[in-house]
Amino acid sequence: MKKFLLVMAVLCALVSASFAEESLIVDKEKGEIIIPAEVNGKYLVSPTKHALSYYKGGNGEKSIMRALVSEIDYYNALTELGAVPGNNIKPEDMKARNSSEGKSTEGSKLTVFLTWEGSNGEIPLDDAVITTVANGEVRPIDLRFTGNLDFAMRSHPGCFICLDSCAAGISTNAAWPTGAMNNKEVSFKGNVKILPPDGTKVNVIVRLVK
Amino acid sequence: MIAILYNSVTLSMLISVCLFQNEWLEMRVNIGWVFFGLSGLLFLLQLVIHPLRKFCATFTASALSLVISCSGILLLLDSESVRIIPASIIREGLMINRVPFAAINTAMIAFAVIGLLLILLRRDRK
Repeated sequence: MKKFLLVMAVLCALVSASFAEESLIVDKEKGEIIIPAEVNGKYLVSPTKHALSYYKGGNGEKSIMRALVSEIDYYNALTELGAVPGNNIKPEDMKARNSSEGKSTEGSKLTVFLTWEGSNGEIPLDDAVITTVANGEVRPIDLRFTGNLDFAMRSHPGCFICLDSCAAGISTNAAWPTGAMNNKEVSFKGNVKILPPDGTKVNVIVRLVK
Repeated sequence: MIAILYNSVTLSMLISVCLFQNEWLEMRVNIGWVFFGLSGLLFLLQLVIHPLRKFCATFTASALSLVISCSGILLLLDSESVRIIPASIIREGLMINRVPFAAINTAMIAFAVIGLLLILLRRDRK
C-alpha cells in the first residue's frame, strides 16, 4: 500500500510538473492575440459553458480548451489592442431564470479561430463548438470583450471565453444572455468531428473587429 | 479489507457518473474529488456497520458491486462517453490532467480484473 501511494505521488508530481507556463503573442498590426491551449477531451462528449479557461483557474478543467497562460494577460492584451470592455454584466445578472430576464454582454466585438498541427487552416470557434438550442434557433457566436477584471482578480475563475453572457469571463458571448443556460434554452460542447483529440496543443487566435 | 476497498471504489464510480449527469453540479464541483471522498465514506461505512461488513468482505459482494457499477455506467453513458467520462473523473480527482484517457482506462480495467482475482484467491485460501 505504501509503495502504491509513493508511486502515485511521484506520478502526480511528474505530471503536474509537465505543465509549462507559456506566453501569449500580441500582434498589434494584425489586431490579434494568439493563446496557446490544449483540448480537454471531456467536453467533446459532455456539455459546458466554457470554451477556454486558464488551467490554473477555478474553471481550468471545466472548459473545452485549457489555456496555458493567465486570463489577466489576456485582458491586458485585449486592452493593448485597443479593445474596450463592456463591464455591464454583474454577478446578480447571473441569477436570471431565463434569457428574457437576462442581460447580454457589451464591449468590443471579437472573432475567434483555432489552429493546430494538421488543422488545414483556421477553424472558426463556431465550427469547433456544437450549440444545441431548445427551440432550434441558430445564433452564431457573438464574442465581446466583457471585461470582468475585478472578478477575475478576486475569484480566479480563469475564464477567457464563456459561451454565454457571463459575469466571470474576460470575453463572453452576446448571442446568449445570462439566464439562457439556467433555463436550459441552450447548451454547448466541443465538436468531436472538428476538434483534435484530448491533449492536442491548439492556438486560439482572437481578433479585434474594427 | 481489499474487498471492502474494491466495493467502495466501484460503487463510488457509479455514483460519481450519476452526479456527472447533473450539468449544474458538474460545472461547480470537482466530481473527481467527490469520487475519492465517496470511496472513503463507503469504505468507512462498510467497516463500521458490522452486518454489512460481513457480507461486503465476500467475493460475491465484490462481483455484484462490479456488475452493478458497470451496468449502471453503460446505461448512463453512450459508447463514446464511456471511454472518457469515468477516466476524466479519475484524472480530475488526481489532478493528472495530461495523462491520456487510454492510460487511465487501462489502469481502471487492471484494477477491476486484478482486484477481483485477488479477492477470489484470498477467499479460496480460507
